[in-house]
Amino acid sequence: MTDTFGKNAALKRFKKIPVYVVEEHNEALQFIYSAIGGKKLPVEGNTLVHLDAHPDMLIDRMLSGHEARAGKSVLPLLQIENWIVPAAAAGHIGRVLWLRPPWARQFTDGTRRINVGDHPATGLLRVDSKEPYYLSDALYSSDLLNAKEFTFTVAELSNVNSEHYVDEFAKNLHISEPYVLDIDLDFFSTGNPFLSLYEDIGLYDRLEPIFSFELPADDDEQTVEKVIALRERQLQELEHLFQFLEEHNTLEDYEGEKTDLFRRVSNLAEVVRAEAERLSDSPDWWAVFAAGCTRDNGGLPYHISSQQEIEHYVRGTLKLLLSRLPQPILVTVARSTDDGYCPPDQFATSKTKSMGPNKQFSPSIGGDWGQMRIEVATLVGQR
Amino acid sequence: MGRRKSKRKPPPKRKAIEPLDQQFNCPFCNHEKSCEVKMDRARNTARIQCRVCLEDFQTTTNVLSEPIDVYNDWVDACESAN
Repeated sequence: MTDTFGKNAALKRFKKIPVYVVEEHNEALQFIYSAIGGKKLPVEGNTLVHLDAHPDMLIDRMLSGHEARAGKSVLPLLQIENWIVPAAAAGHIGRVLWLRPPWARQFTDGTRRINVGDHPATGLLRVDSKEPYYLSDALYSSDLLNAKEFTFTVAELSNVNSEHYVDEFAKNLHISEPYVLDIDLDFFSTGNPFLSLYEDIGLYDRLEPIFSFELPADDDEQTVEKVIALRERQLQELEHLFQFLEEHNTLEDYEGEKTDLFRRVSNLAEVVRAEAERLSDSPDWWAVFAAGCTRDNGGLPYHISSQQEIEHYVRGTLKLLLSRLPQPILVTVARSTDDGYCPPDQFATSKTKSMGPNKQFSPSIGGDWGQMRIEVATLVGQR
Repeated sequence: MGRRKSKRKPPPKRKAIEPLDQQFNCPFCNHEKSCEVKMDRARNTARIQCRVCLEDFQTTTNVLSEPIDVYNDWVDACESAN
C-alpha cells in the first residue's frame, strides 16, 4: 500500500483516523480545515475523494474571492451545494474526485483543470469553466484575479461487485497523496425534495420554461460572455420577482419592468396561490424559487434505491473500493436526510453521532486501513 | 433569498460555530487554564505561555491554525522530549 505521507512527512498524524458524521454536507469542511490547522493535512493542494449524487461544486454567486480566502470565516457563508470550490480558491484543495452513482450526470466523466479566482470588476468568485453546470449559474469569467488552479475528475462508480472492475477503477484514480474521504449517503439512494412540492399542479414541470436558458451555440469567448450576461439578468429578475412574492404574496404592485418573464411568473403565481389555498396553506415562494433553480439544467438526480441495491453498493462495491484505496487522513460522512436528499428510513446513521469527532478508528498495522474500512462501510450502511 | 442549483435546502441557517478553547492547562505546572496563546498571523507563528510558571513555547502556524493547535504542538513537543 502506498505511503500516503511521502513528501508530506512533516505532517502530524492522527492517532486514530477520525470519522466525522454531519447532517449537512458543507459542515464537513470545518473538520477538513481543522485538520489543516492542526498540521494533519497540508495547507495547500489537498485531495478530496467525494462520493455523492451531487457535485457540490457550485459557488454562491455573491461570495467574494476575499471571503473565500479568509480562512475559517468563510464556513458560515457556505451551503450544501457550494462548499468545495471556495476551499479550492483558497488553495487548500487542489484535486477533487467526484465519484458519482450512475443516475447523477451533472458533469461528464473525465478530468479537467479549472481556474477559480476573482472577477476583475466585482471581486466575486468565478471559474473559467465553460461547462453547463457553471454557465447556467452565470459563474463563468474568462478573466480572473488571484486565480488558483484545481483538478476536477468525475467518474461513475457503478454498482458492480467485481474485484476486477473495482481494481481498475481504484487504479485509475491515482490516489497516493494524503487525502480526505468524503461520503454523502445520498450517493446510495437519492431523493429530490422539490418533486413533491405542489405536485398536484405539476409545479416542477411548470417551472422549467421559466428558469431554462440556452447554452451558447459555440465556445467563442464573445458568445459565451453574451450568454452569461443574459443569464445573469434573468437570474436577477427571477430573484427580484420571487423576493417580491415572498414579501407581498402577489406581483400586483411590482414596480420593476413588466417583461415576458414577469408575465410568466405572474401566471404561475396565480396557480400556486390557488393550490396553496386549496391545501389551506400559504404559498412557500422561496421553495418555489429554489425548485425552479434546479430546473435549468436537466433537474436534480432522483433515484430511490431498493434496500437490496443499497446493501449491494455498500457491502460490495464500497467495501471493495475502500480496500483498494490508501488510508485517508480523515473521513467525513454527510447524512443529508433532514433536507430530503437521502430517504431517512433507508439510513439510520445515528443523528446523535453528528458533529464532533464522533467515531474514531485505529489504522491497522501494515499501513492499510484494515478493520477500519469495514467499519466505515458498516457505518455508512447500517440501518 | 439564495439561489441554489446542485442541491437546495431552506435558507442557510447562519450557524454559530462553537468557539474553541483559548486557555489551556499547563503541561508543566498543571495549573488549569493558565496558558494563553498569542497568534502572530502575519508571521505565521504563535507563542503560548503559562502565566503561573512562565514556561513558554513557540511554533509555526498557518492560516487555519487555532490556539488549540498551538497547545497541541506544545503537548506533542513535550511528549517527544520525554
